[in-house]
This record gives sequence, structure tokens and C-alpha cells, in this order.
Amino acid sequence: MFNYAVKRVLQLIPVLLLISILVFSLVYAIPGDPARMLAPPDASDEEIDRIAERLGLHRPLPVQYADWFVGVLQGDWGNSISWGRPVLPDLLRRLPATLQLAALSVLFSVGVAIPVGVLSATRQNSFIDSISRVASLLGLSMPNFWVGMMLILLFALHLRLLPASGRRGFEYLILPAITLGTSGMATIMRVTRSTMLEVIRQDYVRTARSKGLSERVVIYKHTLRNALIAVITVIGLQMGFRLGGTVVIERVFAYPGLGQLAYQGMMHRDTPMIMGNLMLFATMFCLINLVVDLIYAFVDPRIRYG
Amino acid sequence: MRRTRWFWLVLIMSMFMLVFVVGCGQPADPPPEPDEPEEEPEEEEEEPEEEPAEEPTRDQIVYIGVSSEPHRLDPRFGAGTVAARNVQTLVHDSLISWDDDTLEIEYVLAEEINIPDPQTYEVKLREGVLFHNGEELTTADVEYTYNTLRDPDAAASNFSHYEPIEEIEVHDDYNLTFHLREPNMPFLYRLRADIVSKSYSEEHATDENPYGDDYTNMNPLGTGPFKFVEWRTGEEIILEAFDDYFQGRPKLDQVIFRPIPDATTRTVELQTGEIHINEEIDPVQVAITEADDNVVVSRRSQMGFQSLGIHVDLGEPTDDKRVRQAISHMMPREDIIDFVMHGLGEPAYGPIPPGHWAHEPDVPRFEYDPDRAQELLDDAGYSDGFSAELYVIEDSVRVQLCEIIQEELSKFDIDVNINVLEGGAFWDQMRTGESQMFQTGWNAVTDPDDFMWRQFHSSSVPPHGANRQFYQNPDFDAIIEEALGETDQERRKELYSEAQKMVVEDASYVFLYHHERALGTSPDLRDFEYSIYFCFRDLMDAYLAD
Repeated sequence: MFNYAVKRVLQLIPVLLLISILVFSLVYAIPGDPARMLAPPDASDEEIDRIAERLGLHRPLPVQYADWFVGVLQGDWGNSISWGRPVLPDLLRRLPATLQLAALSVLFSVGVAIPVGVLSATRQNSFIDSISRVASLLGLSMPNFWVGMMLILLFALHLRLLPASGRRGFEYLILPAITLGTSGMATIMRVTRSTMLEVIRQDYVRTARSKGLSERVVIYKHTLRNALIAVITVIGLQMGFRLGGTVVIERVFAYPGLGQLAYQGMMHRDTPMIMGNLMLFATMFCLINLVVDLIYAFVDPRIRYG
Repeated sequence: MRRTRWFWLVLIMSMFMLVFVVGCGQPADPPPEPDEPEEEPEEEEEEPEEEPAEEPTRDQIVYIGVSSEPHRLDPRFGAGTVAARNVQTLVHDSLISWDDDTLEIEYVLAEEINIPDPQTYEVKLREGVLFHNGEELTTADVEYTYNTLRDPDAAASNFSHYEPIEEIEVHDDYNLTFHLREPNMPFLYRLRADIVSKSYSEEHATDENPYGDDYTNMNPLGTGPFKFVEWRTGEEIILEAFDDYFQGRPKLDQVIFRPIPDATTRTVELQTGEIHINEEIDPVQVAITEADDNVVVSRRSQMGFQSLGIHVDLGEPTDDKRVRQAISHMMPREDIIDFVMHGLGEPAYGPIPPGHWAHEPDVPRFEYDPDRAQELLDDAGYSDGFSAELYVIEDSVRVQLCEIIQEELSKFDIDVNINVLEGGAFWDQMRTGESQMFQTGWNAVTDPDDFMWRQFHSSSVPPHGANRQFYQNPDFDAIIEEALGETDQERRKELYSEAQKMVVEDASYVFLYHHERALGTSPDLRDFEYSIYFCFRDLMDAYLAD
């Protein structure tokens, strides 16, 4: 098992290398000139060329990539083009904020989705089931920035219960986490419900019932545990998507995380900033997948990693 | 086997939780405890009648919600963006400043400025002005600042503004002279560059970073009313009153900038009292915000204009002046302002906005007049219309504006194809100098020359300047060349009046509207007025009422 984990972590290296080359070229393929964005709006082209030269943007692309790559190996992730200072400290300073937001939103979506999904499967076609199905449909169809704004208007402006923006304590996390968790919650709820329904019709569930086991044991021990594999897969994927979602959500809530840095980096064609962000996002995405794979083994004893 | 599996599960889960908890540790930082208001001497409290309620008692901390976070705080390098100017104008002082409405010059660090001829600017510095580190301001700092600004290798902000300097002659600690290459009256307005400390910048300079800006961009130091305390990126920039400010300590104890990119969130934060100033209210939200008693909405002219540029040298049909004038007659300016800007603007018929001392009201006015437009088109031989390419930067307001233009022109069978380009790509397209029509605008311009030279002088065609419509008129060039070195203000005004009439008549720009910015403040914030040029500088006199 340990060997398996190590092997998977090592596999990260070629993956990240490929991603970095791809992203680096993509950023340059996007039209736009970072030097132009640093200059005042009425700057002349000569001024802009000088800024580009000072930033080293006039060098050929492979040279710039090699320069960046060697730097990363030495722990220097380059200086941000727009901020003019090293990107790594900024990234690391903001990483916890984003991890925390993503984690809380997953806790929120899992905490709500699994119980409701189970309830809705065990009482198929009941009133609760209908409500939860409509709710999950809504949760999936509403764009999350819009959900965020509605929550701000309701909880911050009208009820004055929660702060609308910033990050100065736990209460500041609640609205963004709910916003970020809504669509994931809907997905997890639907998957929980449908897999539960599938499993509940299996012969061994009928056997369990006919043995005279209590309904509680039948549902939680025999049905839910067998349905969990699919649910965990979805949760893992959702966690990855959650990282992407932070780019939008952090802006709405002025939340100082990686997502906002990524956004600003992209707006300014700030290659080192974009690269740093994407490397972190990619690493986290891969690690989450690894953790999900490892968790399979606990949930389903038939799965073994050599 | 089962036991090891559980061991792994617990391990992974606890690692996950650890990340969560570690993450939690940091944000739990309470908001910085505001400094206690300075304790009043006992005696004063005993005699409150003598000074009735003048002395505010609440925490004098103003939170400003800004739409974007600055990148470089050193004014030599970051003066290109409003986000950075917001902070710089409070932390630094410049030699001069001016009144927003009249653009009349006021002295700040300068005690006196003499212009014996339009090539020589003699400056006498105020004595006893201190930097935040306690050192006194001298001409060495002024010289150092301007030398960085005009150094081509430094690639500083607004290089072109300082390029005209030939030499800076320092006479003593308080007197220096700027010698310019050529007569240049707009240079007076360039004396507003924020002054940085020479010793402080040099202290942090390295071989790789000779101007020390790697450090000073993060830790600016000036002579301004507020000193820089801390910048927690993405969260706050904290400034604190400078006790030894030469014009007296500000009444506010702290000014804290909070970047809140989303316009709706910013509006809500002001309505709920979490911030005291909303830097910019989205035009759509102005009406709602004005209805709220917790917010005071004020509008400021941006001292600029939005326009439709038309290439005059790209063949038929836009090389015909009548066609361009006809297009100007097709623009329902009032409707555009209502629809696109939700009323935040004034119709524009020329480049210089009303209010500016050089504004010429008596220009040919191509008001909305479809009949006249059709007549002009008929004269020019384009009764059946034509097709055109229009370029615009990706921005919802601008694109909307272009869609209206497209719609209006289509009534005359002019088929406009809108090319929406992302920021960088748009400027690259502009650089080619081959854009038949384009939508651009200008902001916060000071000297009338700024409205003229870079956009209409023959020498300013791309790639040298912003004359993207390739307007070339020797008569016009001669007038603004003369005006550049004219010291008599009245004569200058006459010359620019003449120039304005010419550019309007030739219609290489269809002027659409002079835009305004709406700003929201808390009713508790007193004695504050936002400045288009100096942002929040007026906070040095402001206070929060109880």
C-alpha cells in the first residue's frame, strides 16, 4: 500500500512536467501583452517595449520556459510580472485560505447530501424525495456566482447575519463555503440516491431483511456501505472542481485565496503567477485523486493495491 | 489486514484534518485592533462646552472598498493604475497639486515655482518637511525621483511625461531648476510626480535592482499625510496617520483599503457599514444605492471622453469627411448615456470636457439628426450605405455601446461588423494602425495638450502615439505646436479653441459622451471629496462623525 502511494506520487512528476509545458505555451498563445498592461493607458509603443525588455519578455519562448523551469528546481518560482515580486511566498500564504474554503465546502456538501440522499432513496417518491430532487436540480442549474450574490443579499444585506466579504474569522467562511458547495451537494445527493436505489434492490438486501435485521442495519450497513464507492468517486471529483470554482467564488466574496491570484494572474498575462497557481492546483488535483483511490481500499475490502 | 486498513484511513483523514486546522489557524487572526484614539488630556474633557462636539470620539478608522488591488506601490513604477494611485496619493506628496474642477495649481512640497521661460522651471522647496522615517526632504530626493522617472532603462510609469527634461540643476538643499529640451507648458502638470526618499530607495537597491523598487513597491515611504503600515495581499492595505505631517496630523487614525472586486459585494458592504467608501458604484446600481439612506452617492466627471475613432486614411468611404460627420449625426447621445451609463455622463461634442479651463463650447455640434446624416451620405455618394469593421475591447459597457452604434448605423444601410477583442489583442490591433473604426476613451487628462497631441498630431500615428485614426492636418499641427510653448494662458486658450474646432469639424473622432464616476460614502464620513486626479487625498482633512 505504501509502495503504491509512493509510486503514484512519483507519477506526478511527468504529469506536472507536461502540464507546465502545455500551460506555458498556452499563456503565450493567448493574445495580449503583459507589458502593455503595466503601462499607463496612453503609453507609447517605445515605452511598452522598454518595459517588456526590463521584464525579459522579449526572449524566445523556450528560453523563458527553461529559465522558469531551472528556477523552480531551485525553489525560485520566478517574479510576478505585474507585482514585481516572487510568486511563491504569495502562493503559499494564500494556499491555506483556499484549502480551508474547499474543505469546508466539501464538508458542507457531503454533510447535507449523504443523509438527504439516503432519506430520499429509502422513501422513494415521497414528499421528501420530491423536494430533494427539485433542490438538487436547482443546485446544479444555478451558476455559483449567482448563488453567492443571492446569499450575500439575503444574509449580509437583509438579515445582517453574516459578513459579505473578507476573511477575518470562521463566520467569513460560511457563505463562500455554502456557495462553493451547492452544486457539489446536488451532484452527490443525486448519486447517493441513485446508487442507494440500485443497491437496495439487490438480493442480499432482501436476504438481510428476511433475516429479520432491523431497517437501520439494513440501510446503513448493507446498503449505504455498498453504495459508497460511487459516492466517494464523485466526492473526489467534486473536490477537484471545487478548486476551480474558487476562482469565481473568491472574487464574489473578496476572499483572499489562490483563486483570486489565479484570476489576477490571467488578467495580466502574468506567466509566473499563472504557472505557480496551476502547478499548485494540478498537484492538489492529483493528490486528491490518489487519496480517493486509497480510500476505496478501506470502503471495499475487495480492492487491494500491491 | 483489516486493522492496517483502518490505520491508513485514520492517517489520511487526520492529515486532511490537519491541513484544515492549520489553514484555520491563520485566518483566525482577529482584525487588527484599531489604535485607540489618542487619549485626551483630562482637562479638556472637563470643559466640553468650550468645544461643542467638534472632537469626534469614535474610532477614526476609514475602510475603503476598492475594485482592484494595486500591484506596485512605489509611485515611480506603479503610477499607471488607479489602484496604486489610491494608496500613493496618501503616502506621498508631490511638488504641486490642483483643484479638480478648475485645474488651478496649488503648491504642496513646492513653496514657489517660477517659469522665467517655458523651458525653465525653478522650484523652491518647502523647508522642514519630513519623510516617515524622520529624514528631511531636500532637493536631492526630488532630483533622484525625477531622474528615475526620466531614465529610459528604468521603464518607469509615464516616461513620456518626463522625457522633455534635459537637465535637473540642484542649487542647494531647497532650490532646483528643471531645464527642458523644448518649450513645454504642460510640464507644469508633470510636477505632480510623487516624491520618494533617495536614501531609503538606495538603501534597498541592489545590483540587480538598482532602483530598490523590489522592496519599495511593497514598502513605500513618503512625506504624505498617512504612512504605510502593512499590506496583507488580497485582504488589506493599512495606512496610519503621520504625526509629523507638515500640514498637521490628519484627524483620521487609520485608512484601510480592502480590495473587493465584485461591484455588488462592494455596494452591500457599504450599505451594511462594513466599509465607509465604495470606490466605484456600478452604473446599474447607482439608482438602488441612491435610494438607501445609509449611503451618500456623489458623481465626479472623469475629465475625459468616450468616442468612436474612424480611420481617415484607409481608403473609401471613411476617408470622406462628410461620411464621418454623417456618422456623428447618427449618434443619439442622450439615449446612449441613459442606456449604457444609466445616466452617468454628459453628451460630448468635442474632446475637452465642460469644466476644464480650455473647454470650447462653440464647436460645430453634430447633434442627432438622421435627415442631415442622410443628406451628407447622399452628397458623398453613399446613399446605399457601405460596410465597416469596428474594433472594441472586451468590456460589457463598451460592447453594448458598440451594439448601439451598429444598430444606429444599420438604419442607413451601413453594415458594421463588431470585432470584440480581449485587452491585449485589442491594443495589438490598434498598434497595426489599420483599424477602420474603433471605440476608445480617455480619462483624467490635465493639460489641453494631453487631449490633443497624442491623439491628433501627425507625429503621433502608431506606433509612436495614439493617433490611430491617422489624422494629419498641418494647420492643426502648427497650432498645437505653438500652444505647447505659449506661456500666456489666454493666448493658449485661444489656440486650443481653434484646435478643438478643427478636430471636431474633421470628425476623425465621433465624440460620444463625457463619462462620470459614481462614488458611495457613508453619511458619517465628513469633509471628504473624491478627486479624479488625487483619489482619496482629501482624507487628510476628513473625519468620522458620531
